[in-house]
Parts: sequence; C-alpha cells; structure tokens
Amino acid sequence: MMKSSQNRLVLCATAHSLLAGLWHAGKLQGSQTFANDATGHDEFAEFLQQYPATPVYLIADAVEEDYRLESVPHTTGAAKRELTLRKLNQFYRGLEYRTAHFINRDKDKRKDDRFLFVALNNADFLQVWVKMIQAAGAQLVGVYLLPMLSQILVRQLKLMAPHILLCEKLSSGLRQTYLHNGRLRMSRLVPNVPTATNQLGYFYLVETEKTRLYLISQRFISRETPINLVLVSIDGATQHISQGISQEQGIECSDVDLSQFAKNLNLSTSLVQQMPELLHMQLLASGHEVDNLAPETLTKQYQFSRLEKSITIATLIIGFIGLCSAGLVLKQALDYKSALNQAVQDTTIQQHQYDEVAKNFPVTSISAADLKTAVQLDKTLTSYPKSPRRIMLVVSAAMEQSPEIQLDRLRWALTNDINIKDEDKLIAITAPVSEPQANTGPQPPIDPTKLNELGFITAEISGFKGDYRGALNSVHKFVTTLKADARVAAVDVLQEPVNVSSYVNLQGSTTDEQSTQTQPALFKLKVILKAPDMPEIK
Amino acid sequence: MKLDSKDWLKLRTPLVILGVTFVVIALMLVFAQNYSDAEEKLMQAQQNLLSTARQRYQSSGLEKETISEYLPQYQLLINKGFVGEERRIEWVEALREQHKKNKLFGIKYSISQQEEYKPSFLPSLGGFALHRSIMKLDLDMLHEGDILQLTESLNAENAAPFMLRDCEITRLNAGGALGNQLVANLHAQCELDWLTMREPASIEAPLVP
Repeated sequence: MMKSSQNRLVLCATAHSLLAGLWHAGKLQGSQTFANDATGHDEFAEFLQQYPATPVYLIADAVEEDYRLESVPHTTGAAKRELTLRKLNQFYRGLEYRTAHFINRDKDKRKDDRFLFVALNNADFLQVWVKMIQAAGAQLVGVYLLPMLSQILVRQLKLMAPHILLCEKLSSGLRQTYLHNGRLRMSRLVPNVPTATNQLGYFYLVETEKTRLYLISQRFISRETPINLVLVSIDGATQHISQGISQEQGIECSDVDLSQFAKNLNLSTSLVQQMPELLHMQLLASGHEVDNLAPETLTKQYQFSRLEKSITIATLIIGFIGLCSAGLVLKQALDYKSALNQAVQDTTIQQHQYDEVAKNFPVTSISAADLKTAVQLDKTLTSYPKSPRRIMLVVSAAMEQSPEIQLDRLRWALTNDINIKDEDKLIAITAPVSEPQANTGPQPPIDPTKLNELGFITAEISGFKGDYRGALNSVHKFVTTLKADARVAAVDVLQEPVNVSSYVNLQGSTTDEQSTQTQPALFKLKVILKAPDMPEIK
Repeated sequence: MKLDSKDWLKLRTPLVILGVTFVVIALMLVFAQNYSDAEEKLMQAQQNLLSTARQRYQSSGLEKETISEYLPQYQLLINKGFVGEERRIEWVEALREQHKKNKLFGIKYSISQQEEYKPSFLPSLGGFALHRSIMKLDLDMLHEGDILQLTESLNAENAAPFMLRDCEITRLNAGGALGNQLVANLHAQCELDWLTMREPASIEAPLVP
C-alpha cells in the first residue's frame, strides 16, 4: 500500500498520441506511447488496469489553447471564487477545460488582481483518454496545460530576462511560450516542423516573427520591446540556429542545453531526446503542481479518495498521539506510585527510629507541643486583669482634680471590640456631640487579637444650678485631666451636660438659673486604657 | 468538492472510526489523568507525613526537653481544674469563702451552660478545645473596694483560671455622698468566664449538659 501510494501516472496527450509515464517516489520507472486510434485505446485501457489506485495526472499539449490576461478587483475567499467563475463563464462558456491562473496584484491604482484565463478550445482529442480513465475507475488528479509546466522549467533554469520567448521542440511540434517576468502570458504550438535540418533555422525565424507580431497585436509587447529568444534542446541541436538568428536578425537569442538539467532530474538524456515531454512530466511528478483545468466532476473521485485518506490519517494520528499522551500520563502516575511506596518505607523507618528514641521520654499521652500550648495559654489568661482596679485608679486620680464631678456609674469591660455599645439607664445618648465640642482623642488601632480595657463613666456636676457654660468647662477640664494620664489611650465624650450641636434640638427656659428644680448636668465619657506593660510569656 | 448522500454513506465508516477513536482516546486520557492526580495527591500526602516524621525524629531531643519542662506544669493545670472537667462546686465554695472572709453583702450568682469557646484574641489552642461557663455576679457593696477584693481574691494561686469581662458599678443613692453607716451604697454586676480545656484525646467525647 505504501508503495502504491508513492506511485504517480503522468500522461501527456497530444492530437496524435498519448505518452504515459509511471513515477515512483519522483523517479521515472517506465514510459509507453499510445497512438490515438482503436489499438492505442485498447492498449491504454489494459495499461490502466495495472494501476487501479494510482493517481493520474494528465497534461494537454494542443494547438487549440486560449489565453486572456485580465484584471479583476481584489477579492478573497468565496467572492474571489465567484468572480473568477463569472469571468470564466464570460470568456469560455460551454468549454469544459478552463481555469484562472493568478499572475500578481497591480502595484498602482486599485491594486487589482491580475489573472490569466486559459482554456482548451477543442478538447476532443482529450475526451477519449479522459473517458477511458473514468471507465477504468482511475483517480484523475487534474488536467494541466504543458506551457504552465514550461513556466516551471524557466524558473528552474533560472532564466531572469523580463521578456522571454521560450522555444521547445516537442513531439507535437514547435511550442513557443511567451513569459513576462517569468510569468506565462501566451503559448502557441506549431504542429508541422520541417524534418530537414537546413530548413529549421528559417522555420524558427518565421514562427518567431509570427509570434512577435501576435504579441504586439495583443499589446503584450511593443515593437521596441527587446525579446529574449530562448531555444532549448537536449543535444545542442539548436545551437547553430540560435547563432544564426542572433547574427542575422539581431535578436538576442540564447541556446540552453537541457542535458545536465535532465540528469539532475534522474532522466535519461536519450529518453528526453526521443520524448521531450518527459521533462515536463517529470516536473509534475516531482510535485510542481500547476493550475488544474478539469472540472470538479472529473477529479471528484481523487478528491474523495484524498478525503478518505485524510480521515484515516487523522484517525491514526489522533490514536497515536492519544496513546502516547495517555502512556506518558500513566508513566507519570507510576512514578508517583513508586515515589509513594518509597515515602511509605522511609516514613516507617523514621517512625521506628523515633519510637526507639521516645522510649526514654517521660510518660505522657499529650504531645510536647500541646503541653507547651496549655501552659502558655494558662499564663496568658493569668496575665489578664482580674478587676477594674486600673480604671478606678485613673478615674479617682482625675476626680481629685475636679471635686465638682460626682460619679454615678462606672462600667468596665475587657474586650477586643472597642466599639461596643453601653446601655445606660441614667443617661440616654441623644445625638453625636458637635464637632467643636467633641473632645475625642485619636482612636487606637483596632486589633481583634488584643484585649482592651474600656471604661464608660456616667457622672454629673454636683450642685448644678443651670450654669451650662460652667458645666461644660468642668467636663472639658475633667476630660483633659483623664487624657493627661499616661495609662489612658483615648477619651471620648459621648454626652455633654448640654448638647449644643447644630444637628439636634435645644430647649429650655431663661428662668432655669433661678429655678430650684434644675435638671442634673449628667455627662458620659468613654475611656480606653493602654495595655499595661506585661512580662513576655515564654 | 460537494458531497452527496452516496459519498456520505461511503465516509460513514471512516468517520465513525475517527469518532470512536477520539472518544476512546479522550476517555483514556481522562482516566490516566485522574489516576495520575490521585497518585500524586497520595504521594504528596505521604511526603508530608515523611517530612513530619523526619522533623519529629530530628527534634526528638528538643521534644524530650519540652516534655520534661512542661509536664509538671501541665500536671498543675490538671490539679487546679484548668484541664479536664469543670469544678463548679469549688467555684461556688470559693465565692462563699470570699463572702465570709471579706464580710460582704449577699452575692447572687448564676452560672450558664458550658459552651465551646474560640476567642480570636487567644493564641493557637493546639489540639485542645477551650470551653467556658459564664458566671454572673450581682452584689451590693459598701464601697468600690469590695468588688476589687472579691474578684482579685478569686484569682488564687491554685484556682481555675477565669476572665473577668465586664463590671458595672452604680451608685444606689443617686446624687448623694456615700454614707458612713453599714448600708449598701453601691451595686455591682459582673460577668466572668470560667475556662476549662479538654485534652486532645477526649475532644470527641460528647459534652454532658
């Protein structure tokens, strides 16, 4: 199967015969010529039976070729296909073998795409061979024009002149192919080549002049355009013709000996001398595919076979890559398992060694770390204050400075939330104290892992007779004294004796000062103590 | 190339094989990856165990020293009731003793049901579980020193540890000065947490209400 997949049948059909060559891995295995008659057809049918699954490439070498150079707006994808199809239908409606060969894009104006539309005007000579290929169930890859392969030949020979007229003497006649900057523009086949050697020079000259006039008429070139005439031959037979044309007509003419080129392609020079088309067939067999002229119906079998093959290859690739990937992952898993077994063994050894050492430890069911944790926890708990002594000392010290302050309530809390609310029956917090009156100090940062001692002080001004200004001054003095204490971190005034904030209502009577039944001047403070310096617990 | 129904029929077998191959390979990969992941997790867990075992063996000398140093102190914690079951009788007896000793007015107390306690301000508890029972004290006082004497006396050398969390002291005769007679001038309400720890081995035992 592998061998047959590398086989290629390359055919070259002319009006009179068909040359068939079998290539394997790019090397010519053998060739056979079939006449375009009943005997030749029968022989060809038998020949095809030998290579049922081999892809067939068919080259057409005919007189009835047509070339049209056309610029179309630049498009891509489906639009491009539709546009070229419309052009092909416009130029070659009813013709079966046709194609659009992309040349290049214009460099100026709209940057249009330039296409060479080509077709076989008369494909009768080809149809008989195509029908036989179809009847044999062979896979036709495509139908190609020989001049398109000549274009490949020029590229391979590295002929760089801008205007080349390539002259090839083939079995079917003299083929003259005009290439502009290495790109095919036009080709013509002159079937009747004189056999007498002395007439060849004149024949070449006449046909070249005809071609030149045609090119001028088609505006491919102007009269002044210097054409480089290239005569190719395998045996140097055209050398004297080339010299003659150069000397007598003043046309730049060169002769190219293809013998070395044929050798490089592993082709016998004698074979190429007999069948010059073999060179073009070799190029096609080597993978230099050119534009296909055959309609899709003719090549569908090959395309379908290729699709089937692609699916099979994709299946194999997915299977192979998947198996390799799964194998790699499994190998990794086995490595993990191996490492796991090793780790289990090592752990057992370490545990055994530890057990040996632990025999000398004091007997306890609690781990060393837990023993230490329990003892440290006890020390931490013991270090916490066991009474509200510190807040009492702080308040007492401040009250000594303000004897008019009378303490009604003291709440002490040990908490990690310094924003706890205090429910006080003696005084209700009406509204936040206005900004100028707020006597709050900077709040210590909240750390939920630390406990703080908080004090809520509810007190009043003793002997209050309605002197709000004096009461406010007393409270401010009391707060200042508290703040001055080194044990205090912050003092908040939660409620003043009178709330003069602009955000709350204020009611009263101007006879308050003379009244014997005055309201008590209650106020409320929040005091946060600094953490006491405690010895570090180890 | 346009494909008709005949072509699709021809392509059915290779497409089915492709699909089956894809599914089988995907399943194999998933299985292999899952198996590999599971083995990797097991291996990493065992590596951690090995690392711990190595560390434990290497630090066995230090461990011995730690046990020797802390085991006697831990025994003291058991003796004073910090580790193990709580000793409510002893707490109440201690309260009564302080009442008598300091000649206080009557102290009303209530101890709530024991609950698990995970305060954020305490360091790691290791393998222990901390529990607390909240005790509320309600007492009249001659002066503010009574509450200081009471709570500080409860914190004796061998007493179970507790945390005094809240104390509210209010004047009974609002607006007046403290009297010199033996009558209550102040009232105090305090909350404290009696704390006990359960050993790691007994953590899973159900708590008796």
